[in-house]
Amino acid sequence: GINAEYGDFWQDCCASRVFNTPLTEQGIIGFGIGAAAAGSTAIAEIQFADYIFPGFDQLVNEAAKYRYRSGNEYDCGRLTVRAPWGAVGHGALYHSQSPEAYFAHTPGLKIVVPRGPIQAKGLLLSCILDNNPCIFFEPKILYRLAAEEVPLGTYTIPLSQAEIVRQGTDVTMIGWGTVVHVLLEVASMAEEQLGVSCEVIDLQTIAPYDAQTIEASVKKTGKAMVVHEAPLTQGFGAEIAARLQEKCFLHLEAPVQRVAGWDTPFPYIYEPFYLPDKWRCLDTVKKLVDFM
Amino acid sequence: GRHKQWYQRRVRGALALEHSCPVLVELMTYRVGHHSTSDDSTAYRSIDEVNYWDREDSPVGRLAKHLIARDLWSTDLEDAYAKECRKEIMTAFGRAESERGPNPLWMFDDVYDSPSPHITEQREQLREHLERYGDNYPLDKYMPLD
Repeated sequence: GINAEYGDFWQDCCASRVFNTPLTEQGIIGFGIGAAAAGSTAIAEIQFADYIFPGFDQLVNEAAKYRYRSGNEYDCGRLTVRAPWGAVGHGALYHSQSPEAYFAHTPGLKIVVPRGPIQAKGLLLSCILDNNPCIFFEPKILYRLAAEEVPLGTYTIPLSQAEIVRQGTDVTMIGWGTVVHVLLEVASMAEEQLGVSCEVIDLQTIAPYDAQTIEASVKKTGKAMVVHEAPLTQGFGAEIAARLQEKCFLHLEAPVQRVAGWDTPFPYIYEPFYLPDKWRCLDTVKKLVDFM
Repeated sequence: GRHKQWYQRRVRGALALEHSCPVLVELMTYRVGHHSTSDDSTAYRSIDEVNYWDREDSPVGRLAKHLIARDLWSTDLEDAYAKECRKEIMTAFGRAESERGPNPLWMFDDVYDSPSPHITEQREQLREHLERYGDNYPLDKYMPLD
């Protein structure tokens, strides 16, 4: 892979099973669907999530609908598609995108985003074992930044289960991938500077998502914010905000806030001004707390 | 740059001149450098192959040898010129790096042919945010907000 994801392990175990393909995302994904439908566990890599779109039709019209259209006679559940995802500091328009919202809109696909190495291993294994086509987005900025003691044995982290990474009582902060680390920093700042206790939730699986955990949290705090790098309009935060106001209306002390990338293509030199950074997030905490 | 390309030309130019007909010219190239800074191309091709095209059979190299053989060029001239070019590039590079970026609010331009209300609203949100939190941003590396 472009970030040496596979390393040299493939030479030891299975040279015939780890291979390069022609450069065609439609083909990579289509091939993976076919292999999966025929009974092989298929893991298809797209070099950058920004390049996944030539395979959009394969994912949306083939992979997602395979089981449904055949009345459960056939499926391509053994397919996992993985792709580097999100801002990296210098990625610009075509090496920084977070396309989860496009795919979350398609019933039949599972979308997963880990926040670090320990989650990456557990969640990826879950995706591979899961009997549905999964898309696994890997925050590329964390490839070289994140270092954790990852257990050597096999373990899985369940899909469709959010994790409360930091407990709190005043504000619920929901994010996934890189942004979870921003939220943890903001939670500390909010505690120190504002005396506000924030609960940080890593959604982990975008679709199908763990509504129960976030609803319980928001009913407790009464104040919610969703943060993502992807552009604001029609980002996945919109779905969460809609659901929270529907399910938790009487518990809300302020409108559900979203902090997101602006509605522009992901810029190059303007990246520091584009991202939903800790200052915009901290400001949103203030807005929530000061609302009433 | 990374891509040192060479061209093996099948020139049908003579044909085009003689017969005034369209001609398809096929240029074969060989990419000497790695695909990107993330790539180590020795993983999929031999270093001997790369060296062959780069040193033995490079049209650029062949042209240099041809000019030298005709006393129109020399390795000394080559070295001096390479040095001069590098200096020119690095100077331009340094100058460009020290220039300030454009006004950050221009980030919202050119999404559409003309700005839509939600984009204008977001631009104002950023402006307002920078008015209050600007110290935390590298604003000195950009032209002022308008």
